[in-house]
Amino acid sequence: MVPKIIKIQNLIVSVKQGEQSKNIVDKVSLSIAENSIVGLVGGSGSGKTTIGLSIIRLLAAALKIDGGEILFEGYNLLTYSGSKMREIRGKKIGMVFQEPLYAFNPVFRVGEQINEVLRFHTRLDVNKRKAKVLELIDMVGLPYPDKIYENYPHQLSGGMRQRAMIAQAIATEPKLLIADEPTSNLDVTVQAKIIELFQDLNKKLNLSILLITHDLGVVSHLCDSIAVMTNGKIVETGKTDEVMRSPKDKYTEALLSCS
Amino acid sequence: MLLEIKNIKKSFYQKTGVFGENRSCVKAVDNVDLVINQGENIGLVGESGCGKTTLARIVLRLLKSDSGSILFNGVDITKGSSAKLKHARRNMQMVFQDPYSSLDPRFTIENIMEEGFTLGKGEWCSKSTRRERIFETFAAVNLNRDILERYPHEFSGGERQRIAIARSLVLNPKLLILDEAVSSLDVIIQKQIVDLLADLRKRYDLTYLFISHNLKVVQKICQKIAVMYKGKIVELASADDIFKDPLHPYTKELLAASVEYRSVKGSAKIEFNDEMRLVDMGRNHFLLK
Amino acid sequence: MNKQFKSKSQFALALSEFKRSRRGIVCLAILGILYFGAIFADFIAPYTYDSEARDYSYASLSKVHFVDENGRFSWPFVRELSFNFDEYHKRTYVEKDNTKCYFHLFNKGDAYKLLGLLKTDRHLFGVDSPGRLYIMGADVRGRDIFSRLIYGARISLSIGLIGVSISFTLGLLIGGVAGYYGGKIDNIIMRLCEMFMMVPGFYLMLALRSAVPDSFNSFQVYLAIVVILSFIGWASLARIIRGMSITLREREYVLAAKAAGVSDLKIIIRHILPHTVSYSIVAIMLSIPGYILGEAALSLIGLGIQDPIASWGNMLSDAMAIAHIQMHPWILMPGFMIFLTVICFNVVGDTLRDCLDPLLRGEVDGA
Repeated sequence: MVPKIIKIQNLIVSVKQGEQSKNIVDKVSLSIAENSIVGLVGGSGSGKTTIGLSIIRLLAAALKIDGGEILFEGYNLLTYSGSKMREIRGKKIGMVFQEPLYAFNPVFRVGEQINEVLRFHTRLDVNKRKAKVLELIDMVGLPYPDKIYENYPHQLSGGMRQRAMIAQAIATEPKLLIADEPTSNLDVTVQAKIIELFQDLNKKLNLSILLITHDLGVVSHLCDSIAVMTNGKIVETGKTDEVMRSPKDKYTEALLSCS
Repeated sequence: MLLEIKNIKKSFYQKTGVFGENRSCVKAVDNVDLVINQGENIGLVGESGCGKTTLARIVLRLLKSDSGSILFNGVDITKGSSAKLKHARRNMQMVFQDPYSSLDPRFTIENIMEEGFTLGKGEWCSKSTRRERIFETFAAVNLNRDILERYPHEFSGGERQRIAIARSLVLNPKLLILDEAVSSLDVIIQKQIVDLLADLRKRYDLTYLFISHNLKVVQKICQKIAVMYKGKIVELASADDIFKDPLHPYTKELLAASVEYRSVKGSAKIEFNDEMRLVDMGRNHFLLK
Repeated sequence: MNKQFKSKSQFALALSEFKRSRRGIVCLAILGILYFGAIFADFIAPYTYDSEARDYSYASLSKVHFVDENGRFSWPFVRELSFNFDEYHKRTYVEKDNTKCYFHLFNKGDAYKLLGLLKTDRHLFGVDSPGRLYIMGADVRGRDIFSRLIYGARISLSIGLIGVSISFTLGLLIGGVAGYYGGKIDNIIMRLCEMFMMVPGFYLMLALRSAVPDSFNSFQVYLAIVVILSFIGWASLARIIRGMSITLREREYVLAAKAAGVSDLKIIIRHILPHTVSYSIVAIMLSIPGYILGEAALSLIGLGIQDPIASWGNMLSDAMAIAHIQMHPWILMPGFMIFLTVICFNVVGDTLRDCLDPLLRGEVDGA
């Protein structure tokens, strides 16, 4: 049995609508093996983003975790305090969002913002930090790292910003990267490059990745295993090949026929 | 010939420097020719910033082109009176990418639909007739009749896109320009909308100009595909030919990316000069040479 | 989707939010009372604004008696006053014995036309003449400050509304047009705005005021002041609306309307300006005090509404001498009214902003 990096068990997240509350994530169990890429696939509103945000405990105020546990390295993240969680977020779990423009503060240089993560979470000195940032920028395949370091977010294209965000997310060498629709807003040609980058990082850094997306095509090329989600429930899990070849659930079949 | 685009050029100027002393010029659309025949759907494919949306807006006269002409049913709509333009506009409608921003959030669905009726003089029709027509289009796009009083924020992305399509259909246009109309929807809803479009095409004898960055989606709807790169159409052929026998390096790159999720460095070497023209390589397969 | 759920426009949502804010409701209620008072000033005020009683100059608040000289409870009454001079030549008032001027609801008083239609001489309350009822004291000519405050509210409160409606119509349209068309039109309009904004407001006000002929009667002066004030206000609004409409014109629903062939003016009015509403409503609420204060400032230095017509500004000009304030503190009442109104408008504006800003409302749509 391959050791798991994260284990979600019977997670329930509810949203309050007036007097009633509705479960948008309903008893979901999901685990990610070390050094693997798992695709969490579902339509919009299926609750897949909520799961990603639950792991790093950054849910919107209206959402509440009602039950279950998230075991990361054997400890339940849901019991962690705010400051301990902040440490986990920056250091052990990285996150990449769909819209990279909003993930960077427009008034600071890209390099400085990546640098900042290192400053908070490592004890490297100034020079080493800068060298590390340049190395990271290079690693995610951006040309001319010193130039990119000095650029402001708006000076980069969508694909470049996405790479910069990935660089920021992997700066502290986390064990797990959560990528929420990282390619949905990008051109197909750029999307292909980002997918290759993920594969690359997975091999080089032994990084586990949870890829949240609605696009089965991306998942089938990138992920080792798949979890299909609809209406807050996971309806099917399995190795990518098996699921793609012989889906057992109707919803998975529908998804497959669409892409 | 429904629409003929001839030598359309459009450049954007950008002022740079502290006082705007340097002007740089971006050729968004560079000498584009394209013919759309009645009933022959064309897919316009390319990466963001290649000028495909600019071209669509020029066709709809939302932007003025620097030069060139656009003939709709043989009439040049780049010149002449606004009455002529109005007539052309009735027959050409557009569906936008983001159904969250293409419907005014302050309007009820009824207001939104009513706005589609931009009628000329002497075309006035009664409210009940308009209602009838609105319900007809609702039925065509599988929407309920009782949504008229609602607001856009109460609908899901797929429903909104149906509303946007219904709006563009009320005047019974001949040409529908779909600008990334399904890109922001998730795959299942994408499929539904694509099926809907196929159905509507038969029912209303529509022709689509379908703009997308995704070759796979375009393939499902279009008979012909035009690949655009840096303001120019680099390859134009039937959808089958594009998929089986891509000639241009950029087309190859696009195909690899959207079908196999593989990046191929094809476009790095592409350079243009002004003498390049689309050349027939046989079987109506055009390539920029 | 639940069919029972009634569709709500964004504005209706904001309104239901507003109802939950106690602060906002209280201030709105105060403003409502003030405006109500201003509209029915003739009826509510016991005297007209120019009803003088020189014998009662700077008379203090009337003492209302509930007990008569025999120590029995009686229908409330006031006594007539006579005065002596003290060592500073200040009048000191003493009540004349054996005079009883009873208090009446729907008292007969000066004749007026209610809402300009109904001829009547009934006032909400008052006392029998020759006694006078001063619930907030009297001014130098013995005019009732309470009555004058209510009459003054007509001017001070309406000047804000009319001024705002003029300058916002100008600002919205000009800003909308500038932002929507852009290019040269935008450039010219914006430079024009800047010219207006460059001149310090108060001096511009004085300069424009001096251009108004002396022969104007009070109503014409009032109109002139409204126009002057709104003339100063539109430019800054136009700039902000222009900025908003530049971003709004790129919205796809604007393009969709254009593609459908809707005319430019219609697009500006239907699709662009309504989206500035949440900003505009707040800006309106927050700028009304500016007009009230502007009028007050002009009237205070004697360039605004002229005596005997009452406005809070010119009533306050009485309070410019510190000695008067010390001896008759009630002449500061109009200042308090201005303060109250300004605070109320600001609070209502603030509350509205909180309600109209969907980001603060914490809406969550889906996952």
